[in-house]
Amino acid sequence: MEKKEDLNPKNPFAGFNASLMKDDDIIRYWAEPHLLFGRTALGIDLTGNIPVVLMGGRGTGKTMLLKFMSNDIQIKRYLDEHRNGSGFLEKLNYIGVYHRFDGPSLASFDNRNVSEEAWETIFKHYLEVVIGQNYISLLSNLKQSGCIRFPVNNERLLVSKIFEFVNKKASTDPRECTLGSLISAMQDKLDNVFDFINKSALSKEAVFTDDIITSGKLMFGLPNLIQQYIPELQGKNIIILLDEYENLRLQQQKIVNTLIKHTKLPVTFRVGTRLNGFKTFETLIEGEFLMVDADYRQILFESVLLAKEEKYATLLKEIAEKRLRQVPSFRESNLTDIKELLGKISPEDEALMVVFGKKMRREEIDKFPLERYISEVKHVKEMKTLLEGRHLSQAKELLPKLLNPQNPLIEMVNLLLLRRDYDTDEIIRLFKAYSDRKKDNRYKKFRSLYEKNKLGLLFQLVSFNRPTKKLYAGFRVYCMLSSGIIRNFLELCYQSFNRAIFSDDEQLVKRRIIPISAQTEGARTRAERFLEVIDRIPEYGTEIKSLVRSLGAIFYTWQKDPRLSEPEVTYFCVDTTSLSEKARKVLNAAVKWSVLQQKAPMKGKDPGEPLRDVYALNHILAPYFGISYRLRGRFPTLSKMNLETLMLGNDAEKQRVIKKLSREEHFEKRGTSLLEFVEK
Amino acid sequence: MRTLIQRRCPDIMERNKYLWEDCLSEKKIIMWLENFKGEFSDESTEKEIALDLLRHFLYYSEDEIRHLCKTTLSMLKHEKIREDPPRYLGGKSRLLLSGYLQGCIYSYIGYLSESSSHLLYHFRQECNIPISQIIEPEILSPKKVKECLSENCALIFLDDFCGTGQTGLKFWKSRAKKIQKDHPNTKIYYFALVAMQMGTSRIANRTEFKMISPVILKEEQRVFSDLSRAFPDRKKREIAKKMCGGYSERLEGKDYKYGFGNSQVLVGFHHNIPDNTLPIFWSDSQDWEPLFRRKRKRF
Repeated sequence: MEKKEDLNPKNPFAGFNASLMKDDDIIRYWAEPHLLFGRTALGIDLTGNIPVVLMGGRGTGKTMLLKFMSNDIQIKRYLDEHRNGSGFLEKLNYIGVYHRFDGPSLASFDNRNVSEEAWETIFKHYLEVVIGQNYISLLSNLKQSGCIRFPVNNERLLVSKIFEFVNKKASTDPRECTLGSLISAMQDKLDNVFDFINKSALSKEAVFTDDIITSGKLMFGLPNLIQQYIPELQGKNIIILLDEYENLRLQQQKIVNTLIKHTKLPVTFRVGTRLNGFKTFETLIEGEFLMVDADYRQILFESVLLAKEEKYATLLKEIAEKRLRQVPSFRESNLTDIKELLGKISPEDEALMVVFGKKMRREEIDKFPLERYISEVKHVKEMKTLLEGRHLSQAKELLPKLLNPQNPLIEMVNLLLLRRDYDTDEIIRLFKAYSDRKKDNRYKKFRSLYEKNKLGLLFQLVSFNRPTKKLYAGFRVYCMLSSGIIRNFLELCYQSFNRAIFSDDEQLVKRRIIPISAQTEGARTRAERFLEVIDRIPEYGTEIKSLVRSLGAIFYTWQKDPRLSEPEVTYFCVDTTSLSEKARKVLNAAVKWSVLQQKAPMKGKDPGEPLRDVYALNHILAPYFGISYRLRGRFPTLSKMNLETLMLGNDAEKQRVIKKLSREEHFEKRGTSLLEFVEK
Repeated sequence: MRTLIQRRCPDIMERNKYLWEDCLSEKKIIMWLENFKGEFSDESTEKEIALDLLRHFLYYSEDEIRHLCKTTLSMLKHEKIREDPPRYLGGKSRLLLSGYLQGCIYSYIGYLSESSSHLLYHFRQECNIPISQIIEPEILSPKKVKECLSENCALIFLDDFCGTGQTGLKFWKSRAKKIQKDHPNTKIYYFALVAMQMGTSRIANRTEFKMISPVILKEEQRVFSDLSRAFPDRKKREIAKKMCGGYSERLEGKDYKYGFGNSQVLVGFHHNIPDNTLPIFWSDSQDWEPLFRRKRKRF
């Protein structure tokens, strides 16, 4: 009986960790990131000769990319589309072998009985065996899938040659001279390594009995040998795809760095690592370093993805579509466009919802009594107070000239100009020029003020109308919240789908949109979860959390600055060279775990000032602090002392610095409640 | 002049602060630059070349020297592991290797007051060598070796720098060769913290020393070679060569025109600067203001 498809909506975004995905899932969910592959013009070729280091935060898609480039996935994908493997190798200019550095097993290459030098030798040997085994699995994979065909003697000859390579004698029995027996032999070698690791931890009598394979012998030697026997592989790069490089210990990184620096074609490397995952750039050769551009090219995932907003949005849309297609109810209803499902809410629409408490039609607003509007709407009340302060008798006449209930954000611009002490008549003239679309200088000035500040002003409008909270909804907003980290986007979708499906799954399919409230709640939950796990960062988790909470509190006050001198503050500058070693380590760890994102260094505001390092709070946290998800306003450079206090100080010291760095007026108004973020 | 330093070597003061033990001051660099008066090219070009040379100067601080000592010993341990993997890769490897290091005899190349003897202190600290295993070369006879050397252990001679290899060759002929003859199964090592490729080749070809050196200066590090990293541009390299050769010859004579034995290197240590380095950096003859003063030997 044919299995009936389940037509109940299921969350398509459950399961987003590539290292836990099956090969079939990787193929199913794969969307080619053209932004990464299309960088040959910059000298970065993901399939070319030069090693490439793929650097990115957690969930940026490094593992997905590396796994996708592996021969296992490529062959499987080819076989899904073709009847057999013939022609597979003609299409590719490379063959990838994937290996993930697993933290716990790497840590086991260390105990007090065995000297560092002995561990170094054993680790080099282990690496050779692991990669060697991968090569042989590759051959077996190619053979089984029909991508290559061995004449019988060739396979036996190659196998016995490889046996010689690994210092083992091949069996004289031709039945045992197979790729399978080679894989088992390599497995025996690996077992020997781990056997020694276990025994040496317990006893000094443990002896490493296996023959040591010298560094590079299999890694660089085997591909040459294989290419001699399999002509189809000639001229192809053999790409070693190393994932989670950051898990390597310092000495182990030196070993891998040496291999990368002295790589021998056709072998080349693609290395996936977290930001700041390099503990060292040194190699085993004294005074020799791995140098970006000279020895390898580097791709910073977040920067590449965020550099082209449109292309990033398209990539996210494609990724989401693949997932939505896997769920029958969405597929059947042709509901596979995440852009449609998340929809769009403009700042102007949101402003109307904030002011009137619900979505209002144009006609309804026109009918709203002006007197009630003036007496009830909070930002208008402030405009009135300011005008009364300036022109007591004329305030009543002047106020309607500054109002535009159809777009409260325009009124907020007028309020801003009043707060900035603009002449009232000039404000009226600017506003009129804009309303009449006169296209003169006044029109341009007002339009520029409006466009640059409207999101910042929306945040202020929300704060006038507490307990109303800022919405975080819509496809574009989700793209920005994700901060160039694909997993952030998937998790945002996951949370909002969970809410939508839980509250009413039928409505979701009928209305074809996830309610804004569900999206905002989803974004908030994601932000909370992100913040929660900061504590668990093994190195300096507490310090990072302390810094993040403090920054969130400070940024929150800045966006409420009445004069909006810096709108939407979400980043800070610091001279890292002045910091203590510990503070630098905290910052590096925060970047490594993508809590902070390092941006291009900036010049100080004074011409003579040196370049400052720039760190932005990951936008995924914006819903938690109620702050913006864009990089706009600049926060004054943080001094060494202030930054270190926010990271490492006690509560009283931190509160003092927060108070000092906040916008004073706002701090005074809100009093201690401002510190709620810090104290939580 | 200050602007010139900032423009040509914006990082020089940083390097000085963090890597060079703050041994230079801006004033000292300016005074050194004042030496170049435009005798071989125009003055500003000469000063710029001097700063280019300074940018490529390799200075080994006390910390780095200690690190190099550690690395040298680590290389020796690796060699032992390679020789006998089953023995030295086991659960007792730490114990066996430290036992091996403590059984070796350590001496130095040169005289007691020379820089190489100074290194013994670091070596002793790094691997906990008993003082009884440290023997001055003057009293190191085959008989003494027999008394002090543990079974299967080696005799190790230390040096900070091996340039042309001449010192090593002399030492081999005058002392080590005799010991090797009486103890043919004993390995005799020559440890040089920094060595030039030409020196290591000479030692390997003309002695039975086993050479270990963590830093080997290649042809690219010779400032006037065709592969020079300091002056990849031929035209500029020729001007620099003329200038450095001119001043250096006047200061220290023909033998030192490009550093001793035509070494053409830019190396200095916390404790001294080898004469293989261009004399314009270290000479104090004829009122020349050196950047790193070389403590000269008096025999």
